[in-house]
Amino acid sequence: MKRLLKNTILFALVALVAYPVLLCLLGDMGWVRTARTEMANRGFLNSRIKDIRNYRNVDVLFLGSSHCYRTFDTRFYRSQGISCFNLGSSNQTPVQTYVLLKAYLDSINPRFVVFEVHPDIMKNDGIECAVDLLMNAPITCEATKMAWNTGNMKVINTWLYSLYNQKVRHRLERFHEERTMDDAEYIPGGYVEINTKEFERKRYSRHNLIIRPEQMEALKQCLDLLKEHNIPYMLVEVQDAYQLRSAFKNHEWFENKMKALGPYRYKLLPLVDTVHFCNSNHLFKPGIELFNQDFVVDLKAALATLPPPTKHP
Amino acid sequence: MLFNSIEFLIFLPIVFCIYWLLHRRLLWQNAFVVAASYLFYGWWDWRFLLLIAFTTLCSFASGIAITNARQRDNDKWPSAKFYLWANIVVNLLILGLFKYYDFFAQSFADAFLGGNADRLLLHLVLPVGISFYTFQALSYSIDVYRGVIQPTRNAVAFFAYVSFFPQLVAGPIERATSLLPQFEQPRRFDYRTAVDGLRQMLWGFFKKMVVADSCAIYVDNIFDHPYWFNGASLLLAAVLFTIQIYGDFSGYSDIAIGCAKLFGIRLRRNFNVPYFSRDIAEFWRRWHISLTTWFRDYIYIPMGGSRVPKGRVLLNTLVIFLVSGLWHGANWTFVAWGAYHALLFLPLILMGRNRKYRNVVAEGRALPSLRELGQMLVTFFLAVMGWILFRADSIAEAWQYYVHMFSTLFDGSPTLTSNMDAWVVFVAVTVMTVVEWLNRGREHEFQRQPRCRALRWAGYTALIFMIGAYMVTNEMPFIYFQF
Repeated sequence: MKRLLKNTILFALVALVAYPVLLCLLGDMGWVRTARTEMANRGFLNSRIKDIRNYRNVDVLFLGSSHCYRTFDTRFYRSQGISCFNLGSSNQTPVQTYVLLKAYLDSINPRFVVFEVHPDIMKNDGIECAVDLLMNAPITCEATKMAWNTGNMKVINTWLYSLYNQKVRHRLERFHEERTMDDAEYIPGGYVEINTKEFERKRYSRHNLIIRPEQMEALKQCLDLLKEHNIPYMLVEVQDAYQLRSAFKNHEWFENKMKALGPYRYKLLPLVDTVHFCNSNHLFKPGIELFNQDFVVDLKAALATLPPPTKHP
Repeated sequence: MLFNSIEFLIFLPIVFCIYWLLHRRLLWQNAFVVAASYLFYGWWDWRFLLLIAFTTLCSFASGIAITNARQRDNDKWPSAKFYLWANIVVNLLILGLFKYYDFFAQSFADAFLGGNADRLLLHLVLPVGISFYTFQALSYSIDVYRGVIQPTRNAVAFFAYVSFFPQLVAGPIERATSLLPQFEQPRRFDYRTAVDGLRQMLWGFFKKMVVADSCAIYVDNIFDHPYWFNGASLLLAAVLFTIQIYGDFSGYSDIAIGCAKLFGIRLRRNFNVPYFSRDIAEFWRRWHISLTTWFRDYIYIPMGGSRVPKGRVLLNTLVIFLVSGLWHGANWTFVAWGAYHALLFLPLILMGRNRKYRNVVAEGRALPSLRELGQMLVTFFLAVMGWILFRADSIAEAWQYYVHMFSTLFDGSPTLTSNMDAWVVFVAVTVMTVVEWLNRGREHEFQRQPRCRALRWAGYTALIFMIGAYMVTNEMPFIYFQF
């Protein structure tokens, strides 16, 4: 028995060294299936993370998934006298939002937080966003904890590869992400503008919405963190195209779940699928304009009730 | 609990350590095996623990009752035969209720009620591994009745025999004659056996998590929408399903057998390189061995086996194949799959060639002859055609699959999902084929190892890396769990 334990431990040590070495070598060649090894993508998280250093003591911080960074146009809010930053990222679920909040909440010090919530995101496993975050943001203790908690090999391999990428090769600082990718353009302040409409008529089967318990738990953790910092927030659900929205059987149930967590806004504007939407769950330019013009009224009202900002150095 | 889950990775070392700490107290060690096995099974749904406990209790009691009846006076009612049949009926009723009731009710409704079976259906959840542990429990009482084995009065050992977690949910289907005595005697830790077990487990994980699951991505895509693809893609999907089901099920068996070795328990071999068979009869001696031998010993031989007139032998064989098909699931596709194999098997009996190939192919040689290669390819192709029936959701779907596949077979090359996935499948299947070919005459397919420790460890590390870097990341349950 002792011999087995001794040899198992010895072999485990060999494997623990060999595994990351092989992963990094083959990862560089793009030959690993269960790891993300490229940095840039259409969510522009890399650019956003570099950009966030330029923003402090903003009025509003936007958090959420692509619905967030493709809807809340920071240029529009700035034109309305509201300083803001959009920290949304591709498929960002509350689990990853918590990691980002822990890393950047103190430095950006917002007066108010707009937390975008979407039924599809609350049922998401968060793997896509987790690997995006690990490749494009500095690896912190919180990010490491998040990676290992998923128990997903793709996330763990990406964490390993990214660790090597950041700590050995220092690629995170050196990497320059293009500001334009296909039809998407990164706008300083975190917003991403999409220039092509790709709306397709689709039939979605009617289905019940579900919320993953771990996402609900993480959402509560995020909100608790904001409460600790005395930062008021609003949960906002951005409208989907009618063809998708009408497939949700129990949206009211989702609304009630969100309302129980704090102020929640879900307002349906008279939008037309083929005109105002880029695809089933993302608004297009005319829709974005209408949405923001409507939302800014509520946002201004919320900001008006707040005490004057306390500026961090 | 799945073998390919984080929970099992934590569960196994803990159970292993406690098990060997208790090695001086047999009763406690067996009780711990039962507790660990029930935890393993109850992780999925604890309510079904009652069912497995009831099945175990019935078989245990029947063993004692059969012997008591025999010692008392066999002619007096209730006789030993009564207790045997009572146990068989109870077990088969449970199996039938959970696994087959809805199927037969639906078939009855389709035939006589215009398909409306809403009032008849029970929609019961199928308990994982029910067919496996029911057969294992049944074999005990039959063997006691036949006098092959003495009934045990050690309830803890018997519970451990039925519920031993490595083989509880998908076999190998063990016999009381080989497994029960192992629980009644003290086990001794053996370093070589344990290392061999770990090696076999590693190979099983590779086959399941890399080979089978990678094939599954392509297979599921094609079988879900066969009309979107050409015949070459459909043929490739059928070939990949043939590899997937082998990787999945033999991978599970390797993990189970290897895991049992860690606990000093020997389980029977379940697969013996079936795709290196030269005809269908050889294939069936090498595929799911524990089930085929179960049917042979408990159904085929009592029906007369091969010592009856040829016509009766053919009928017996046909019955075995049909029952074996139905055992896999409550669907006519499985029955058709059994019938298809019977059609391939029966001519071999008629020609007296069903026992022609009893040794391993190319024994003592590195490579097969051209004739052997041709025979293996033909047998493999025949198996591929059968697996289409097995994989389809209905006979009609399978038929459409065949028609579409053959009618568009030459309409271009197969569609591949992505380059990376195609490469992973190609490399993984090649590695598996080469390793299994080199080990084809051995106890298991990953037994032969280089003497040099560095080379051995490099091989293990490469396998672990392949699992970690090329596995399919969502937990995919084993196909045979549904049976």
